[in-house]
Amino acid sequence: MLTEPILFSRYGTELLRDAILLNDPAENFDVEMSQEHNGQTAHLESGPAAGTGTSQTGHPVDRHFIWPVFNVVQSDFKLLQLWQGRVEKVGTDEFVATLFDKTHPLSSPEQVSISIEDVNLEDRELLRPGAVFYWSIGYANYYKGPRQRTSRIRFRRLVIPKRKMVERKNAAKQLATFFARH
Amino acid sequence: MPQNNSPLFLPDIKVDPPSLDELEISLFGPGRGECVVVHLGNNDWLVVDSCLDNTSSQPVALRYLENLGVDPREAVQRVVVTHWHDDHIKGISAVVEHCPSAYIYFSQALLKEEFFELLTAFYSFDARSGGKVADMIDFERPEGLTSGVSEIAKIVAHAYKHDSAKRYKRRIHYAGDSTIVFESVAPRVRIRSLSPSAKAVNSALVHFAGLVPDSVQRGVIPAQIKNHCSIALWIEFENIRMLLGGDLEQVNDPDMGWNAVLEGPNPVQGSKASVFKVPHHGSHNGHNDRVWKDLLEEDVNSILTPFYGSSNPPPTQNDLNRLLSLTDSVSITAQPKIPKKKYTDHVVQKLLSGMISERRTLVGKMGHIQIRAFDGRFSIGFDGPARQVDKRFMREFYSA
Amino acid sequence: MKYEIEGVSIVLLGSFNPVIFQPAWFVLNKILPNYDVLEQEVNIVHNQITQFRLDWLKVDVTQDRFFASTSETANYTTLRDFVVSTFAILEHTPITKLGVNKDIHCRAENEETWNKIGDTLAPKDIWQKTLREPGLTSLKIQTLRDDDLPGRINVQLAPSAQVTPYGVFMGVNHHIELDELAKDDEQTSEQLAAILENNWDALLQSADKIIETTITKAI
Repeated sequence: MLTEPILFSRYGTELLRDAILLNDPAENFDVEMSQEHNGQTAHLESGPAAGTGTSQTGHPVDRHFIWPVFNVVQSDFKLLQLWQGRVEKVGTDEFVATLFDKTHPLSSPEQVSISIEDVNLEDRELLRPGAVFYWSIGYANYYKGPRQRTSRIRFRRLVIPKRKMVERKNAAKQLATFFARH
Repeated sequence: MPQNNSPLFLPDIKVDPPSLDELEISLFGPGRGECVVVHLGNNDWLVVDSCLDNTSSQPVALRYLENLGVDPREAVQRVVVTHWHDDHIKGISAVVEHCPSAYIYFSQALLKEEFFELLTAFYSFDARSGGKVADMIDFERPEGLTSGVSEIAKIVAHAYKHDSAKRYKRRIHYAGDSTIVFESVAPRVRIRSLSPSAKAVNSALVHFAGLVPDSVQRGVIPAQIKNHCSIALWIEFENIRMLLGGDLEQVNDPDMGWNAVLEGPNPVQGSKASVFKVPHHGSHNGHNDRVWKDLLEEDVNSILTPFYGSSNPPPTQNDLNRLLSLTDSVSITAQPKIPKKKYTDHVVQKLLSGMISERRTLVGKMGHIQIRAFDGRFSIGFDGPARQVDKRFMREFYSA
Repeated sequence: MKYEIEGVSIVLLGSFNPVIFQPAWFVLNKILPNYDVLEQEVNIVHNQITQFRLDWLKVDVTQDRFFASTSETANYTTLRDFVVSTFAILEHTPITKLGVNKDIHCRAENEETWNKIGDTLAPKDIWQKTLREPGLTSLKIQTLRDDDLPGRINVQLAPSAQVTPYGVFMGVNHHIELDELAKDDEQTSEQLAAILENNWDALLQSADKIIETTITKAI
């Protein structure tokens, strides 16, 4: 049983006060709460995902969620342009990259030279030919505080488990055998 | 725009299919990647490499054949893959898929373990079946972010897991420095590969090994890599000869590149070529004086594509002047330089301009040069931004 | 169409040990950079639940559910990479279901348009025979998938309580039965990676298309 109330922030985000709340995995809560928010009433339902038969992988609040308010905080970054980049060459001060336009996917890729200073210090160990990065341009603090034009370069972190690095050699052998003709 | 304001009259490409005994070679190029489509007579076709049509994002070879009313499923007999990096062969796996009658020719280097190590570094192949055709996981990378080998990986994956694996496997062949790729009797046609040499294959294998990543962070293969395993093709169609130079380079080694073609054990003999697909975008890296002297007719019809992806994109002004000194007939699929992309959002445009020192657009509009030959007579047609390279062209793009 | 609020989330059902999923673990395994976790908030780490928020990422893990979401458009693919990397390392985690969700809140031009959306998708004439002033509070539709992945697509629509007045909430859930695809836990992890890498753009584009078409046609 719930021992403490669920609190809602301005945007309907819930804060779980304590893990004790979820001690009881039973799906038969019958607690109901409601809260006025902006003149509308948000009902707290508990138990399995609302609406029997709804996929459990939707509406991602695991046990308790607010219907119809969706539990998402409005992002304060307004995106204007997004590229995916591939590093081609790394120099002393600059690196060359190919940019693929994710905002206008049908337009041509471009090749650019970017200052290494624009790469976060922690990401620099990832800066090598073949590395992938995401570059976004937009406004930070779009809804609150002084707006700021912002450019963010973020390197992709997509990890290969060590086991796979060994396995791929075996797969290569198998393919080579399959295609061997002479 | 032409400086003297007089209109450019260039003959258009023909939109009907060639007649059964008519030779055609069509070269397509948008500034990144290129594609050659050849009619070998009797509605038999050859496709070399691939690039994507701007408007439909379809492989341009398939779109062109469809527009001609040719069914690629029956008509395409051979597909030759002269590059291995995605940027230069976009859509080739779709071409292979839509041309089930075609034999596919790769450089031998692409069927060796070193290349498969590179492939499996980026693609997951379920190797647990112990030699049987496995239940594979097909990794089709999202469009745009090429891993450098996704097109080859798709072809290999299909071959590996196809229901009739053996039959599919027989479609894949490798081309070396003297492989007969196609032959027919009427009309008399013979296609022979002139490269890569054995040494070039070994060099490619060493290169592949150096590209296999050792980091736990997954990356992709960068674009600026050498192509040691390019396939050059010599085509004989009745009395006409054509040399498709692929991406073959001139290197300081008698056993590699054009030197190996000219000095190798099976040099080209007999008549010279009257059509030449200039290798390596006309750059000096692909130039060999003896090729022009020994293999090409005077005033050979030279056709080439530009490449926008370098700081001094080939063909440069010097490259074109060199070509014009060797032959009067030079045609290019697209203009040698294209303007930078403009972003409609001025904030983006401003920030971008402030942050980067160099920027160049990599893919422009698709241009098409079509050469047909019948009864000893050649006709040449142009589509899109394709142009003849002449004094007017040079003034237009290289005026001081 | 302009969304006032939007977000993407990835939900996994399976068996998890929440204590593992703390920010420091992600940094140690090079899945997240340190600069991401410097400003984390609401950090609960417990054997029954772990929850933390970063600038762009929200993570919520219980013993049977893993949830990660972002409302930053620029980081949708980063979210995907985060989940793929996590379960590449935790490759023996039993995972049975995968959900990729896109949720949006948009605003109708005026009250008339707002009501028209509800009236088009849930005509009131039948309800008016027995109910006084019926109004739509939520609508859920389920459909089969049109790709070769086992599962369903679930679509929800409701008035939005976050965007007022005249707000409309729509959510698309791509529900995928991972346990039907894989024979063992290692294969599940590979299948998860394969689906998220191969299909990410297509799943989000499909969700966008469902949302835009539905609302455009309903106006």
